[in-house]
Amino acid sequence: MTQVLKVKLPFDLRTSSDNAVFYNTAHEEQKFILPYCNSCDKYFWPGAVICQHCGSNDVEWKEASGHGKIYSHVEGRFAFHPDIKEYLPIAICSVTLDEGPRVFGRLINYGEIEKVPYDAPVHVVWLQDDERGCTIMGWEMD
Amino acid sequence: MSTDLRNKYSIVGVGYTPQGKVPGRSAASFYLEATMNAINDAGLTKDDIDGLILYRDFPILPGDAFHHTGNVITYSLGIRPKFLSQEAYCYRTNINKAIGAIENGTCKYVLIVFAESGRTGHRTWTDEIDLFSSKPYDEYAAYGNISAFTNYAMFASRAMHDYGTGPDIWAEIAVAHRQWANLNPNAIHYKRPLTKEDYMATPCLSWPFRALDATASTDGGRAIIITTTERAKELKNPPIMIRGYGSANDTAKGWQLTPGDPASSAAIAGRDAFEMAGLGPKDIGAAQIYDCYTYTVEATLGDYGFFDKKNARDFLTVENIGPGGAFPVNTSGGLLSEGYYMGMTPISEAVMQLSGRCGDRQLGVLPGTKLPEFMIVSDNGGFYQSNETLILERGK
Repeated sequence: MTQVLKVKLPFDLRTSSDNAVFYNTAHEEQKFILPYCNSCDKYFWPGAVICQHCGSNDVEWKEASGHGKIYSHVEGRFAFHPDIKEYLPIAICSVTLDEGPRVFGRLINYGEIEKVPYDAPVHVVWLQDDERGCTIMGWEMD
Repeated sequence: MSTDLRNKYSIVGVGYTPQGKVPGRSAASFYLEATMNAINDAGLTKDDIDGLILYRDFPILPGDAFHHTGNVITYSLGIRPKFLSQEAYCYRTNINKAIGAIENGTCKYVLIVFAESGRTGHRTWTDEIDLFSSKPYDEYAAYGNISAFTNYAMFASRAMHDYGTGPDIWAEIAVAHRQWANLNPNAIHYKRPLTKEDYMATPCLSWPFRALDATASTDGGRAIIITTTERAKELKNPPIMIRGYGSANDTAKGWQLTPGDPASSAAIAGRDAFEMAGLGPKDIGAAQIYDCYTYTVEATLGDYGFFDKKNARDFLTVENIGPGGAFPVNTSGGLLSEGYYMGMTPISEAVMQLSGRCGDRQLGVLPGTKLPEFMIVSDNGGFYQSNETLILERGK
């Protein structure tokens, strides 16, 4: 079972009808699923009715590993909006999943941002905000 | 664009306005002033303008009553263009549309204009959050990613790993731009010198980027006019010919971008522009690059092939790209230090330089410089995802 951390998020989660399945599943079942194409056997991101690789509409949500490597990372230290001020600093990363797609997330338990290694293996940790009723991806180094 | 169109189109007028912090003015007022100044600069009348392209729409700010749609501006100008267009988002299509509308016989003179009151109106660049309700527009806000700044910082962060770039190179870029701005009385940062030490002493807003890595919002406007080179020869300014043109778009989201991707929008647009022009990087004497961030200059020139991306440090020095350097870049001070008029900043400066109207910063007059025959101009949109590239040539 994937670890769940209770957190307070700076804003509501607003996503599309196409990608809501991912976040609803994360919130209710703590499962990491990805859009998958049955025609070309590839995963993609975010959710869409057509496979971005081959254009097939034979796509479904499929459970995935929740493992990948950090592609890039930054640490937000400035309140570009007043409502985020109390949550700073916030580290954000992109992760190239073992399944292929590059996804987004919060980097957690990372120490000093300047020392975080690129391509470090990471696993998903769900960041759950009970008040806002939503769950997002956190990434922690293995 | 087809090689048949090489040098067939020219830029014939540039319109400026007061810029920087200009309180008490609506964006609409800058649209109108920049437009009329470009028309007067070209020696045309407003009724000659049969194509009007508003660069893009931004959310309105305090002091504005309406979105600055084409209709609002054409009404105030009292013109009825056959072709009227405006992007809702950040794709770069303006030059393509302008040439297309003339080439297909619809228009003779197409004017492209951008204006805003972003400085006084405090444009925040947090498109992820609604300005009035503070509610998010997308899922990234919940993660804390609420600015273009963060997305570009992600792009630059990975480039530190892949190509060895970092704040030492970005400081050179920031300082070179500031030195150019200090030769340009119109620049927002005129008489505000900057050293590499000053740069390094400022804090990161979103590591690895500092505030000095980013452009800031401006009050003001900027316009240009495009017509055929044949018609341009009858007008008062020397025609600045479009020798090469390319455009391209990436598929990735901003935070997904791969630095150095050989299929990046800049790489493809640049390749096509060189091909149409029949030229290569060695033929280009100076560059006006869309410098929304310092690293954008590095990414763009690297993707164009001006240097090996792992050796950017040798090319992007104040001595090489600043005043008096062998390869001048962003001679007005650019978006970083002159003023933020999106793609109108680099293109207008290229036209002014090639027509010899740049005062103390004029290439060929400034000691140690020469007026280049060819200049490359970039405009990129989104988060480095959309690109128009021009290679301009001085008309004889």
